Amino acid sequence: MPLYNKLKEYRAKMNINQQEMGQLVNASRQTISLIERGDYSPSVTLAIKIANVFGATVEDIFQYEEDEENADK
Amino acid sequence: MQTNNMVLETENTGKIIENKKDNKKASKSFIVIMILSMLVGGIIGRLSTVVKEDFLKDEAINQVIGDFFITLFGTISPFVMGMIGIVGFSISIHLYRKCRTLYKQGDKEDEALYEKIEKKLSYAIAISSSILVIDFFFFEASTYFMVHGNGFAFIIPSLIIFLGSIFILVLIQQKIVDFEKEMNPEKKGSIYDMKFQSKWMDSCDEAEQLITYKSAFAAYRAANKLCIFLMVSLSLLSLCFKIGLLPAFVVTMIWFSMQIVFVKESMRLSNAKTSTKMQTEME
Repeated sequence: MPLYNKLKEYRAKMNINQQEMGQLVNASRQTISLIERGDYSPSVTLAIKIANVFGATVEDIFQYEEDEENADK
Repeated sequence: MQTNNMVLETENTGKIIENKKDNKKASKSFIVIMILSMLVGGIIGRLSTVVKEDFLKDEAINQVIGDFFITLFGTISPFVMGMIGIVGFSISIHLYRKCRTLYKQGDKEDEALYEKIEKKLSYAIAISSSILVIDFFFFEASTYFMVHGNGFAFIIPSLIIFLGSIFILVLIQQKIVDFEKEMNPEKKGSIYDMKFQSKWMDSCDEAEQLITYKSAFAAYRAANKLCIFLMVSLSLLSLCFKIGLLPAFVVTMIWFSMQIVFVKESMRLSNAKTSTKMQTEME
Protein backbone atom coordinates (compact mmCIF):
# COMPACT_ATOMS: atom_id res chain seq x y z
CA MET A 1 0.00 0.00 0.00
CA PRO A 2 1.59 3.30 -1.07
CA LEU A 3 -0.02 5.40 1.70
CA TYR A 4 2.32 5.83 4.63
CA ASN A 5 1.44 7.62 7.84
CA LYS A 6 2.91 9.05 11.01
CA LEU A 7 -0.25 8.61 13.05
CA LYS A 8 1.45 6.51 15.73
CA GLU A 9 4.18 9.13 16.20
CA TYR A 10 1.68 11.98 16.44
CA ARG A 11 -0.45 9.98 18.85
CA ALA A 12 2.57 9.21 21.01
CA LYS A 13 3.49 12.91 21.11
CA MET A 14 0.03 13.75 22.43
CA ASN A 15 0.10 10.72 24.74
CA ILE A 16 -3.25 9.31 23.67
CA ASN A 17 -4.05 5.66 23.09
CA GLN A 18 -5.86 4.16 20.11
CA GLN A 19 -9.18 4.02 21.95
CA GLU A 20 -9.02 7.73 22.82
CA MET A 21 -7.88 8.59 19.32
CA GLY A 22 -10.86 6.68 17.94
CA GLN A 23 -13.24 8.60 20.19
CA LEU A 24 -11.76 11.92 19.07
CA VAL A 25 -12.38 11.20 15.40
CA ASN A 26 -15.54 9.12 15.77
CA ALA A 27 -13.88 5.90 14.69
CA SER A 28 -13.16 2.60 16.41
CA ARG A 29 -9.92 1.53 18.05
CA GLN A 30 -9.60 -1.20 15.42
CA THR A 31 -9.73 1.35 12.61
CA ILE A 32 -6.98 3.44 14.18
CA SER A 33 -4.92 0.28 14.55
CA LEU A 34 -5.55 -0.68 10.89
CA ILE A 35 -4.52 2.79 9.70
CA GLU A 36 -1.32 2.75 11.77
CA ARG A 37 -0.38 -0.67 10.43
CA GLY A 38 -0.96 0.57 6.88
CA ASP A 39 -3.71 -1.99 6.34
CA TYR A 40 -6.39 0.61 5.70
CA SER A 41 -6.38 3.94 3.85
CA PRO A 42 -8.87 6.25 5.56
CA SER A 43 -11.47 8.29 3.70
CA VAL A 44 -10.68 11.95 3.06
CA THR A 45 -13.11 12.94 5.82
CA LEU A 46 -11.46 10.69 8.39
CA ALA A 47 -7.97 11.80 7.31
CA ILE A 48 -8.99 15.46 7.79
CA LYS A 49 -10.54 14.68 11.18
CA ILE A 50 -7.30 12.98 12.26
CA ALA A 51 -5.18 15.87 11.04
CA ASN A 52 -7.44 18.37 12.87
CA VAL A 53 -6.89 16.56 16.17
CA PHE A 54 -3.15 17.25 15.91
CA GLY A 55 -3.55 20.70 14.37
CA ALA A 56 -1.60 19.43 11.38
CA THR A 57 -2.32 19.06 7.69
CA VAL A 58 -3.32 15.76 6.12
CA GLU A 59 0.01 15.73 4.25
CA ASP A 60 1.91 16.03 7.54
CA ILE A 61 0.43 12.74 8.69
CA PHE A 62 -0.25 10.84 5.47
CA GLN A 63 2.22 10.51 2.62
CA TYR A 64 1.43 8.96 -0.69
CA GLU A 65 4.40 7.29 -2.29
CA GLU A 66 4.19 5.76 -5.72
CA ASP A 67 5.28 2.16 -5.63
CA GLU A 68 7.56 0.92 -8.41
CA GLU A 69 4.81 -0.96 -10.20
CA ASN A 70 2.56 2.12 -10.43
CA ALA A 71 5.39 4.51 -11.15
CA ASP A 72 6.40 2.56 -14.25
CA LYS A 73 2.95 2.97 -15.83
CA MET B 1 -12.88 18.73 -30.50
CA GLN B 2 -12.09 16.63 -33.55
CA THR B 3 -8.62 15.87 -32.17
CA ASN B 4 -10.20 14.78 -28.86
CA ASN B 5 -12.56 12.46 -30.71
CA MET B 6 -9.65 10.98 -32.66
CA VAL B 7 -7.72 10.37 -29.44
CA LEU B 8 -10.76 8.70 -27.89
CA GLU B 9 -11.26 6.55 -30.98
CA THR B 10 -7.61 5.43 -30.94
CA GLU B 11 -7.89 4.63 -27.22
CA ASN B 12 -11.10 2.66 -27.86
CA THR B 13 -9.48 0.65 -30.65
CA GLY B 14 -6.54 -0.07 -28.34
CA LYS B 15 -8.93 -1.23 -25.63
CA ILE B 16 -10.86 -3.46 -28.06
CA ILE B 17 -7.60 -5.13 -29.17
CA GLU B 18 -6.55 -5.52 -25.51
CA ASN B 19 -9.95 -7.08 -24.63
CA LYS B 20 -9.65 -9.51 -27.52
CA LYS B 21 -6.15 -10.49 -26.34
CA ASP B 22 -7.35 -10.96 -22.75
CA ASN B 23 -10.33 -13.06 -23.86
CA LYS B 24 -8.14 -15.19 -26.14
CA LYS B 25 -5.64 -15.78 -23.35
CA ALA B 26 -8.29 -16.61 -20.74
CA SER B 27 -10.43 -18.69 -23.11
CA LYS B 28 -7.60 -21.21 -23.61
CA SER B 29 -7.61 -22.27 -19.96
CA PHE B 30 -11.42 -21.98 -19.89
CA ILE B 31 -11.73 -24.45 -22.81
CA VAL B 32 -9.23 -26.84 -21.18
CA ILE B 33 -11.21 -26.74 -17.90
CA MET B 34 -14.48 -27.31 -19.76
CA ILE B 35 -13.07 -30.32 -21.67
CA LEU B 36 -11.59 -31.80 -18.49
CA SER B 37 -14.88 -31.25 -16.63
CA MET B 38 -16.80 -32.92 -19.45
CA LEU B 39 -14.41 -35.88 -19.41
CA VAL B 40 -14.55 -36.28 -15.63
CA GLY B 41 -18.33 -35.78 -15.68
CA GLY B 42 -18.69 -38.33 -18.47
CA ILE B 43 -16.59 -40.91 -16.64
CA ILE B 44 -18.42 -40.38 -13.34
CA GLY B 45 -21.75 -40.40 -15.19
CA ARG B 46 -20.88 -43.66 -16.93
CA LEU B 47 -19.71 -45.22 -13.66
CA SER B 48 -22.92 -44.03 -11.99
CA THR B 49 -24.99 -45.74 -14.69
CA VAL B 50 -22.98 -48.95 -14.25
CA VAL B 51 -23.54 -48.76 -10.48
CA LYS B 52 -27.23 -48.19 -11.05
CA GLU B 53 -27.53 -51.02 -13.58
CA ASP B 54 -25.54 -53.51 -11.53
CA PHE B 55 -26.32 -52.64 -7.96
CA LEU B 56 -29.28 -50.32 -7.77
CA LYS B 57 -31.47 -51.92 -10.46
CA ASP B 58 -33.97 -52.95 -7.89
CA GLU B 59 -36.17 -50.11 -6.60
CA ALA B 60 -36.21 -51.88 -3.24
CA ILE B 61 -32.43 -51.42 -2.85
CA ASN B 62 -32.87 -47.72 -3.55
CA GLN B 63 -35.54 -47.63 -0.86
CA VAL B 64 -33.35 -49.54 1.60
CA ILE B 65 -30.47 -47.09 1.11
CA GLY B 66 -32.83 -44.13 1.58
CA ASP B 67 -34.36 -45.66 4.69
CA PHE B 68 -30.92 -46.46 6.06
CA PHE B 69 -29.83 -42.82 5.91
CA ILE B 70 -33.15 -41.54 7.28
CA THR B 71 -32.90 -43.96 10.21
CA LEU B 72 -29.21 -43.28 10.73
CA PHE B 73 -29.51 -39.50 10.82
CA GLY B 74 -32.83 -39.59 12.66
CA THR B 75 -31.44 -41.87 15.36
CA ILE B 76 -28.15 -40.11 15.90
CA SER B 77 -29.63 -36.59 15.70
CA PRO B 78 -30.44 -36.07 19.41
CA PHE B 79 -27.02 -37.40 20.44
CA VAL B 80 -25.12 -35.38 17.83
CA MET B 81 -27.05 -32.20 18.66
CA GLY B 82 -26.43 -32.70 22.36
CA MET B 83 -22.77 -33.55 21.90
CA ILE B 84 -21.83 -30.74 19.52
CA GLY B 85 -23.94 -28.30 21.54
CA ILE B 86 -22.03 -29.11 24.73
CA VAL B 87 -18.63 -29.18 22.98
CA GLY B 88 -19.32 -25.91 21.14
CA PHE B 89 -20.62 -24.23 24.26
CA SER B 90 -17.65 -25.43 26.34
CA ILE B 91 -15.09 -24.18 23.82
CA SER B 92 -16.88 -20.86 23.34
CA ILE B 93 -17.37 -20.24 27.07
CA HIS B 94 -13.73 -21.19 27.71
CA LEU B 95 -12.55 -18.67 25.10
CA TYR B 96 -14.97 -16.05 26.44
CA ARG B 97 -13.79 -16.47 30.05
CA LYS B 98 -10.16 -16.39 28.96
CA CYS B 99 -10.83 -13.10 27.16
CA ARG B 100 -12.63 -11.71 30.22
CA THR B 101 -9.63 -12.53 32.40
CA LEU B 102 -7.21 -11.04 29.87
CA TYR B 103 -9.29 -7.89 29.71
CA LYS B 104 -9.59 -7.63 33.49
CA GLN B 105 -5.94 -8.30 34.27
CA GLY B 106 -4.29 -6.90 31.15
CA ASP B 107 -2.97 -3.45 30.55
CA LYS B 108 -5.76 -1.38 28.96
CA GLU B 109 -3.13 0.65 27.12
CA ASP B 110 -1.70 -2.48 25.52
CA GLU B 111 -3.03 -2.45 21.97
CA ALA B 112 -1.87 -6.01 21.24
CA LEU B 113 -4.10 -7.21 24.08
CA TYR B 114 -7.23 -6.02 22.26
CA GLU B 115 -6.14 -7.76 19.07
CA LYS B 116 -5.61 -11.00 21.00
CA ILE B 117 -9.00 -10.77 22.72
CA GLU B 118 -10.88 -9.97 19.52
CA LYS B 119 -9.25 -12.88 17.70
CA LYS B 120 -10.33 -15.31 20.41
CA LEU B 121 -13.84 -13.86 20.47
CA SER B 122 -14.10 -14.26 16.69
CA TYR B 123 -13.27 -17.96 17.07
CA ALA B 124 -15.92 -18.31 19.78
CA ILE B 125 -18.56 -16.63 17.58
CA ALA B 126 -17.56 -18.77 14.56
CA ILE B 127 -17.81 -22.01 16.56
CA SER B 128 -21.20 -21.20 18.12
CA SER B 129 -22.68 -19.98 14.80
CA SER B 130 -21.50 -23.06 12.90
CA ILE B 131 -22.97 -25.38 15.51
CA LEU B 132 -26.28 -23.51 15.35
CA VAL B 133 -26.45 -24.22 11.61
CA ILE B 134 -25.52 -27.91 12.06
CA ASP B 135 -28.17 -28.22 14.81
CA PHE B 136 -30.86 -27.09 12.37
CA PHE B 137 -29.85 -29.86 9.96
CA PHE B 138 -30.02 -32.56 12.61
CA PHE B 139 -33.34 -31.33 13.92
CA GLU B 140 -34.68 -31.46 10.37
CA ALA B 141 -33.34 -35.05 10.14
CA SER B 142 -35.23 -35.92 13.34
CA THR B 143 -38.47 -34.45 12.01
CA TYR B 144 -38.06 -36.32 8.73
CA PHE B 145 -37.38 -39.55 10.62
CA MET B 146 -40.53 -39.02 12.68
CA VAL B 147 -42.73 -38.53 9.61
CA HIS B 148 -41.10 -40.93 7.13
CA GLY B 149 -39.43 -43.44 9.40
CA ASN B 150 -40.60 -44.78 12.70
CA GLY B 151 -38.91 -42.13 14.76
CA PHE B 152 -41.75 -40.93 17.00
CA ALA B 153 -39.74 -41.88 20.07
CA PHE B 154 -36.90 -39.60 18.98
CA ILE B 155 -38.79 -36.42 18.24
CA ILE B 156 -39.40 -35.24 21.84
CA PRO B 157 -35.76 -35.75 22.99
CA SER B 158 -34.64 -34.17 19.73
CA LEU B 159 -36.85 -31.14 20.23
CA ILE B 160 -35.70 -30.68 23.83
CA ILE B 161 -32.03 -31.07 22.94
CA PHE B 162 -32.40 -28.82 19.89
CA LEU B 163 -34.05 -26.02 21.91
CA GLY B 164 -31.54 -26.46 24.75
CA SER B 165 -28.64 -26.32 22.31
CA ILE B 166 -30.02 -23.21 20.59
CA PHE B 167 -30.58 -21.59 23.99
CA ILE B 168 -27.01 -22.09 25.25
CA LEU B 169 -25.44 -21.13 21.93
CA VAL B 170 -27.48 -17.94 21.64
CA LEU B 171 -26.66 -17.18 25.29
CA ILE B 172 -22.91 -17.42 24.66
CA GLN B 173 -23.28 -15.26 21.55
CA GLN B 174 -25.14 -12.67 23.62
CA LYS B 175 -22.35 -12.69 26.20
CA ILE B 176 -19.71 -12.23 23.48
CA VAL B 177 -21.62 -9.40 21.82
CA ASP B 178 -22.15 -7.68 25.19
CA PHE B 179 -18.44 -8.03 25.92
CA GLU B 180 -17.58 -6.53 22.51
CA LYS B 181 -19.88 -3.62 23.34
CA GLU B 182 -18.13 -3.21 26.67
CA MET B 183 -14.76 -2.98 24.94
CA ASN B 184 -16.09 -0.82 22.12
CA PRO B 185 -18.73 1.46 23.66
CA GLU B 186 -19.73 2.89 20.27
CA LYS B 187 -21.23 -0.45 19.22
CA LYS B 188 -25.01 -0.74 19.34
CA GLY B 189 -27.65 -3.49 19.21
CA SER B 190 -28.91 -6.41 21.24
CA ILE B 191 -28.58 -9.93 19.91
CA TYR B 192 -32.27 -10.53 20.71
CA ASP B 193 -33.31 -7.59 18.54
CA MET B 194 -34.64 -8.62 15.10
CA LYS B 195 -32.76 -5.63 13.62
CA PHE B 196 -29.52 -6.50 15.42
CA GLN B 197 -27.39 -6.85 12.27
CA SER B 198 -28.41 -3.49 10.80
CA LYS B 199 -28.05 -1.70 14.16
CA TRP B 200 -24.60 -3.23 14.67
CA MET B 201 -23.58 -2.31 11.14
CA ASP B 202 -24.81 1.26 11.61
CA SER B 203 -22.62 1.60 14.69
CA CYS B 204 -19.53 0.40 12.80
CA ASP B 205 -17.21 2.96 11.25
CA GLU B 206 -15.94 3.07 7.65
CA ALA B 207 -13.11 0.55 8.03
CA GLU B 208 -15.26 -1.96 9.92
CA GLN B 209 -18.03 -1.62 7.34
CA LEU B 210 -15.51 -2.19 4.55
CA ILE B 211 -14.29 -5.34 6.31
CA THR B 212 -17.89 -6.58 6.53
CA TYR B 213 -18.51 -5.81 2.83
CA LYS B 214 -15.32 -7.60 1.79
CA SER B 215 -16.17 -10.60 3.97
CA ALA B 216 -19.72 -10.66 2.55
CA PHE B 217 -18.31 -10.63 -0.99
CA ALA B 218 -15.99 -13.51 -0.12
CA ALA B 219 -19.00 -15.41 1.27
CA TYR B 220 -20.97 -14.62 -1.92
CA ARG B 221 -18.18 -15.98 -4.12
CA ALA B 222 -17.84 -19.10 -1.98
CA ALA B 223 -21.62 -19.65 -2.07
CA ASN B 224 -21.60 -19.30 -5.88
CA LYS B 225 -18.90 -21.95 -6.17
CA LEU B 226 -20.78 -24.17 -3.73
CA CYS B 227 -23.99 -23.83 -5.76
CA ILE B 228 -22.18 -24.94 -8.95
CA PHE B 229 -20.62 -27.86 -7.08
CA LEU B 230 -23.99 -28.86 -5.58
CA MET B 231 -25.78 -28.67 -8.93
CA VAL B 232 -23.17 -30.91 -10.59
CA SER B 233 -23.20 -33.33 -7.64
CA LEU B 234 -27.00 -33.48 -7.65
CA SER B 235 -27.04 -34.17 -11.40
CA LEU B 236 -24.60 -37.06 -10.90
CA LEU B 237 -26.49 -38.39 -7.88
CA SER B 238 -29.74 -38.31 -9.80
CA LEU B 239 -28.19 -40.79 -12.26
CA CYS B 240 -28.00 -43.34 -9.44
CA PHE B 241 -30.71 -42.40 -7.00
CA LYS B 242 -34.25 -41.19 -7.15
CA ILE B 243 -33.56 -37.95 -5.32
CA GLY B 244 -36.34 -35.96 -6.96
CA LEU B 245 -36.23 -32.34 -8.06
CA LEU B 246 -36.55 -30.72 -4.64
CA PRO B 247 -32.80 -30.62 -3.81
CA ALA B 248 -32.01 -29.03 -7.20
CA PHE B 249 -34.94 -26.63 -6.77
CA VAL B 250 -33.65 -25.52 -3.34
CA VAL B 251 -30.13 -24.92 -4.66
CA THR B 252 -31.60 -23.03 -7.64
CA MET B 253 -33.66 -20.83 -5.33
CA ILE B 254 -30.63 -19.97 -3.19
CA TRP B 255 -28.42 -19.34 -6.23
CA PHE B 256 -31.10 -17.33 -8.00
CA SER B 257 -31.89 -15.12 -4.99
CA MET B 258 -28.17 -14.46 -4.44
CA GLN B 259 -27.76 -13.28 -8.04
CA ILE B 260 -30.91 -11.14 -7.98
CA VAL B 261 -30.07 -9.50 -4.63
CA PHE B 262 -26.48 -8.86 -5.76
CA VAL B 263 -27.48 -7.22 -9.06
CA LYS B 264 -30.37 -5.28 -7.49
CA GLU B 265 -28.15 -3.95 -4.68
CA SER B 266 -25.33 -3.07 -7.12
CA MET B 267 -27.80 -1.11 -9.24
CA ARG B 268 -29.21 0.66 -6.18
CA LEU B 269 -25.76 1.60 -4.88
CA SER B 270 -24.53 2.72 -8.31
CA ASN B 271 -27.29 5.31 -8.37
CA ALA B 272 -25.67 8.74 -7.85
CA LYS B 273 -28.03 9.84 -5.06
CA THR B 274 -27.61 6.61 -3.16
CA SER B 275 -23.83 6.66 -3.56
CA THR B 276 -23.63 10.10 -1.98
CA LYS B 277 -25.99 9.00 0.80
CA MET B 278 -23.96 5.84 1.34
CA GLN B 279 -20.74 7.83 1.63
CA THR B 280 -22.35 10.24 4.12
CA GLU B 281 -23.69 7.31 6.13
CA MET B 282 -20.25 5.69 6.27
CA GLU B 283 -18.64 8.89 7.42
